Amino acid sequence: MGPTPRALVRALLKADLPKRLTDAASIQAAEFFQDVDFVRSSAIYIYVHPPSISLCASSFDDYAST
Amino acid sequence: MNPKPEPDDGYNVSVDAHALPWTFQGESDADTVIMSRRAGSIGLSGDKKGTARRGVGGGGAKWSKAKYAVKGAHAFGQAGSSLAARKNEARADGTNGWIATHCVLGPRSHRGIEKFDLMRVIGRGVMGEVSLARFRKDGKYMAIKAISKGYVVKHDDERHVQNERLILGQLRHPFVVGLFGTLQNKQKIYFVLEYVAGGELFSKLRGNRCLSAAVAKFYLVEILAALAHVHAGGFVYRDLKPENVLLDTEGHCRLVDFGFACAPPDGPEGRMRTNCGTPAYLSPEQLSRKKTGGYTRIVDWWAFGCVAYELMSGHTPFCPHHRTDDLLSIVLNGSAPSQAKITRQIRIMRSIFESSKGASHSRLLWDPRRAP
Repeated sequence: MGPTPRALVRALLKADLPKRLTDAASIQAAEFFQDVDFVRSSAIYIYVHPPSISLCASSFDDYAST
Repeated sequence: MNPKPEPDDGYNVSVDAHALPWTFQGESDADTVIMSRRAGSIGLSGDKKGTARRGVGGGGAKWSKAKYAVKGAHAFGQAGSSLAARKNEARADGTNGWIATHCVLGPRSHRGIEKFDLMRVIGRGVMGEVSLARFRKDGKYMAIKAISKGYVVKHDDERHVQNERLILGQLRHPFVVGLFGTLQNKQKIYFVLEYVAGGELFSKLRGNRCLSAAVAKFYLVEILAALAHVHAGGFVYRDLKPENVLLDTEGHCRLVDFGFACAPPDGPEGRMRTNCGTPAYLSPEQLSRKKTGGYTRIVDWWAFGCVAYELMSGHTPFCPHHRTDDLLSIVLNGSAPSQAKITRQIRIMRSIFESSKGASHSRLLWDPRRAP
């Protein structure tokens, strides 16, 4: 885990509540997400390609085994 | 206030207009449900090995079954009128009719569990099971989550089921599973849900695998968008974990299983005291809710942090051995352990394992209390 994601996780898992990230806006502003356009997040389904696609060709494929 | 009857256009909701209102009850400490790690909430997962959230109650006497059936029929058959009044689109119907906020399945003659071909079970839990089903009218595939009314009433889970129906009915988001409608008969409630065929996000982590930061970011952004949408609707999810995030056939996330979701009783920032969730993802406020006076919706972001850590490290930050006894002290004593500390622990364990090769199995189970 690199320093940027580690910083995000640490900020999210602070036991001290005032120091913790506790809302969506502050989390989106974290350095880890700086290259993400959350304004267009509702359209993310269209223009972002998933990193992996499950190997199911039809609804009857047993995806649990893929 | 009873809703004004409307003509049946085939797509309106029909509920019992004379029924008691579907009340949204407040939080109560009396309702204590803790799911064990990997416990099987009956989501739309393909994991057929889901363990029980609770033990299944033994078979009761006939009179008690009858009592549950009657109580269950009351609890669910009367449901939906306040919701329908708010939507102003309901009209009178029998208690076995639809109680959904929206119906995309066709006219009234097509409503009913008998209108589906149940193909196979794709998930199982103590409350019921999830089946892949085909809607006969158009041949579309859906997931039908069947919940036993008797079990729900017996374990006082009516509120959770009602919350799930109410909340899923209001949420529309590409990363939240869609609810097409709900059905019921005397024994069961049926949630007709979008079929999400790609499996669990947790399957990406099987075998202690972890994801690269770039891949994890993709999933985290979608989970973040879904959670933000849930919060924007005034709800709290309360059970975020990789098992409750499914992937569709295109690889995008769907948040499922809203059984523990609720609307805080005093508004979006209101406090809750219900003991629910999965131990490894519980925040300090949830664990010490009696001292702190409850918790707010920010517990979802704590769980989000746990999921982020798990995706990029392969294991949860707290409770690595699922020992809930130590969880509170671990969480309250500081923030997430550093990667260096975890690496050091793994190295120590590996050296112990290497040094013990060739030793008898009993030496590995050495008990200091029995040492001479």
